[in-house]
Parts: sequence; C-alpha cells; structure tokens
Amino acid sequence: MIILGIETSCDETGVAIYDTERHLLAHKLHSQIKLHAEFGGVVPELASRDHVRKLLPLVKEVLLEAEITLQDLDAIAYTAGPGLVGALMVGAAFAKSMGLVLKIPAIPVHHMEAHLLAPFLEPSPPQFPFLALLVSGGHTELIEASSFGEYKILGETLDDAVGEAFDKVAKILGLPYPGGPVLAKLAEKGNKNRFIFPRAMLKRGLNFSFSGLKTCALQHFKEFGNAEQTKADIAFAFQEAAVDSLVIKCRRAIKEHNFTQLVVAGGVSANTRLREQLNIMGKEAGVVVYYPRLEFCTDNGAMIAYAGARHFMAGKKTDMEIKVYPRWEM
Amino acid sequence: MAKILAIDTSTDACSVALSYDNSICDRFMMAPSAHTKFILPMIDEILSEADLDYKQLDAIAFGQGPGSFTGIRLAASVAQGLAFSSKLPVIGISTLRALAQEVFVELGLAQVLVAQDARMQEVYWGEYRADSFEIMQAIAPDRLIRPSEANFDHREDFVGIGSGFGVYQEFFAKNMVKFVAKQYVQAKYVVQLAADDFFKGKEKVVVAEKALPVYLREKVAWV
Ligand SMILES: Nc1ncnc2c1ncn2[C@@H]1O[C@H](COP(=O)(O)OP(=O)(O)OP(=O)(O)O)[C@@H](O)[C@H]1O
Ligand SMILES: [Mg+2]
Repeated sequence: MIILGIETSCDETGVAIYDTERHLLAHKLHSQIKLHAEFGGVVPELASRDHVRKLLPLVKEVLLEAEITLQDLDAIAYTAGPGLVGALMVGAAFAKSMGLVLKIPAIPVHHMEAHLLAPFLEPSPPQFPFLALLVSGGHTELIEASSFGEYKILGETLDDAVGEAFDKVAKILGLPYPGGPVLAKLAEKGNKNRFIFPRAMLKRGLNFSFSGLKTCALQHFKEFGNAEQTKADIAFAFQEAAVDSLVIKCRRAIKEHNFTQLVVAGGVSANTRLREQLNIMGKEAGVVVYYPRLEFCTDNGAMIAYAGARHFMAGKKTDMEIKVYPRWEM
Repeated sequence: MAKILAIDTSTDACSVALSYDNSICDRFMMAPSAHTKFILPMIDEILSEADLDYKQLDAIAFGQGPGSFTGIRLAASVAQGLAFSSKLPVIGISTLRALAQEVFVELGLAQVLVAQDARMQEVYWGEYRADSFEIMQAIAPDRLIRPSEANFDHREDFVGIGSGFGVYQEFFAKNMVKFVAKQYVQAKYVVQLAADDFFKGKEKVVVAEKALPVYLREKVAWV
C-alpha cells in the first residue's frame, strides 16, 4: 500500500511517500522560516500563500524520487488539524481533489497523532501501549497511548507550550527567530552554577506550567544585563528548569501507570539536553525511550503519510467534503 | 467548444460549470463559509451528469481572483489537485473579467468598469470591453485602488458592476451614471472566458503548479 502524505498546518510544507512494505520512499520539506523571520512569528496569510506555491512542486519531487506514478498511490493523507485554518485548507483541498480524480481516499490526519507516531518510522519502533510525551510549539502533553487510535491525556500545560516558552525566552534574549534551537545551542556555553530557575508544579500531578519560567528569564535578563555570557547563563538555567520539569513528570507518569516504553515527539524532542536527561531517567526507571530521527521531530510529511497509512489500513471512511479542524482534540 | 471544467469560490457564492458539445451547464449556490463542503460534490455531479471523466476534459479553469483570499486559494488548490492528477492544463480567469462577461451576456453592456469591495477603503478595479467575438477583454490591468484613484477619462459610456459601487456609492455617483448591483462571480462566465483563452492558446493556459491565486493585495503583514 502506497500513501502520499501532505503537511501544511503551519509554516512548513512537507510531503512524503510511505509504502507499507518498503517503508519511507521519499520525503521533502520546504520551511518558511525566512518568510516569517522579519515579523518575529508566523503570519497566517503569508503561510497560506506560500503553501499553495510550494505544495505541488514538492509532490512532483517525491513522486520522482520514489520512482512511482500517480496510479501507484492507494491513498492520500493530509493534515486536517490542529493548525492555521488557511494553511490547512491548502493541503486539504489539494489532497481531496487529487483523491476525487484518482478515485482513492483522501484521509484527514490529526497533526499531533502524526507527531506521536513519528518514532514508528525508525528501524526499531515502539509497540503499543506506551507513554507519550508530546513537546512542540503548540503542545505539551503526557499521553497514555493504549493502542492505535486510543489516546488519553494524562497531563498537559496549563499555560505556554514548552516549545513556545523556548521561542519566547529566545526572543527576550534577542536571538533570531525561531529561537528554540538557537537558545539550546547558546545554553551549551552557559555557566552551570550561576542561576537556578524554579521548577513549577513539582509537588503533584502531571500537568505543566512554563509561563513562570519565561517571566523568571525576563527578570534575570533585565537585572543582569545582556552580556553574551549572561545570556548563555540564562539560556542554560531556563533549559535546565524546562527539561527538569518534563523529566520529573514523565518519571511520575511512568511510576503511576507502570509504563515500559516512553515515546517522545514534537519539535522539542530534538533538544539534546532533554534527550540526555530522559535517557538517564529511562535507565533508572527501566523504560525504553523512543524518539523520531531529528528531522522528523518538527513538522514533516513523513509522519502524516505514516499516520494516514495506519488509518487507511484500519479502514477509515472518507467523503468529498474538504474537512479541516483548526482546533481538534486528540 | 473545448471541454472545460470551471470553478469559482471567490465570493460567498460557490459555482461550477462545464463546457462541452457547444453548450454550457452549471451549478450555482450561495454558500458563505461552506465552499469546502459543496465544491467537490458539485464538480462530481456536473461531470457525471455529462457522463464525462476528468481525463476526457481539455482543461480546468478557475476564478483566480481578486476576491476572498481563502476563496481564491481554495479554487487554486482544487484546480491544481484536479489538473495535476488528470494531467490537464489550467486556465486562471480574472474574477473581474467574469463579472464583466456576465453583464455583457445578460444585459448587452459591452463597456464595463468593475469595482469589487476590497475593504480598507480600496476596491479591486478592472476595465473591460467586449471584442468582436463577444468576449470581454481587459483594456487595463486589474488593480487595487482607492476609489478616488479611478480614472473616468474616456469612460463616459461605461457602466459599472460590482460591490464596490454600492459601498462607495456616494463617491462613484459623482462620476458615473449607473451601475449594476451584482457581485457574485459565476463559473458559467469563467468557463466562457476560459474557452476563449484556450482557443487562442494564450500563455494563460498553464501547467497545474502555475495555477496560482491573484490577490492584488500584496501587503498583508506589518512589522
Ligand atoms: N533543539 C531544540 N530545542 C528546543 N526547542 C526546539 C528545538 N528544536 C525545535 N524546537 C522547538 O520546537 C517547536 C517546533 O516544533 P513543531 O514543528 O513540532 O511545533 P509546531 O508544529 O509549531 O506546533 P504543534 O505541532 O504543536 O502544532 C518550536 O517551538 C521550536 O523552538
Ligand atoms: Mg508540529
């Protein structure tokens, strides 16, 4: 079974082809980072305008690279939400129209479920059930994944998503947009003993909070100035506290629910420090930790194609409505 | 006549049309915020009634703007998806030209100024005249202007069409005698114009990935 995957929910156009027998055949990504950089954040109308320009050329490229033709496709998967409505619409309309002509289903995929399934694209994938930590620009969630399609949120952020906090603190420090990865890089030069930031909501529960941490970074920046070393020290302290909060809640969820596997996905799962700390915790707690390869941590078409393939095999029905769900609970 | 499927979702209306066997059939409905629900079923229906498959068509046409950004992008994405998978070329048709064609066909007005409300004190402005084949052709490029920037020299005999004339009625009344209160673009006029472009083999007949919206308003973000 061969599936074309299309991702256009935010500021990356991602396209991929997944074959249930031969696995990932091709994938391409176009990032809009440069387009939005001068505005310091994603401008929805600009994002949509770019998707409609880039999507079809990318589709042509993956078909070539995978050495298949349109007739070889068994289904098309597209991100239906959550995301920016105009951006989602481009992928949805294109996918549904292709499906209509080729007489194959165009399957709506939940972007966060696709993130969660991204580690299944790797050579030794996890197996249900498992605990998932979804950490991205818009989400911070601990999810009990009992089986494919059966997910329960055990904990989530009460304010900012962790990726959003990385980006906001980066902005405070004057780092280029989008700041998350840049801040992580700067943190490597930080003095470990200079600042210690508070970990929020440690005592109980599985929810997160990152807005206090952001405020704390801002206060330190105002008080201690913007020397390069100070900024690195703040970056370090912020990252340590953020990573710590994530690790502590994972450990708690694992203990409470006896998980044996932890799946980490979403943009922030690319963070080196987070991976280090989770691996240490995993060893101690006796759980195996799974991650997507680095390029599939952030938005991409491969995870959409994979999630679509699973839905297709589960017999998901589709119709001719071009459906998008900008807000969509998993 | 070439077999062309045309769609338009640039306004609150949603429409599709098909030209074949020297006739045009169409579907038109008001569908504010519901184009995504109706557009593909309407396309499917009109083709099955004509007993045609996509591969038998000569081209896909779409109302490429100006209009609602979301609407013209939807039409472009659908046109791309249909055309790419059936290996057909695409013809993008100005929505202002389609309105001009409508008043020509329905009211016999051969010289038309089109003003569609673009909000922010501006209108999408087009100037059209019918050629000897009864097809509206632009005599100036479509553009985004303030009503006060409209030029009425040598346009004394023209009639207006579009929502802009209603919105800026007081202003336009000073310059023009009359306008037609129509603003919903219809695919049946898009298909007529596309058939003409197709026949002429204009550079307007393009590969699917070149089927892009024409927004006219380029500045949409501020630093
Ligand atoms: N190495 C890193 N360290 C920290 N944060 C990172 C790193 N790499 C990426 N990020 C963060 O990941 C986020 C982007 O991830 P992703 O593309 O999954 O999010 P999104 O698609 O914007 O949001 P969502 O998936 O929730 O809709 C950004 O906030 C970015 O700063
Ligand atoms: Mg994402």
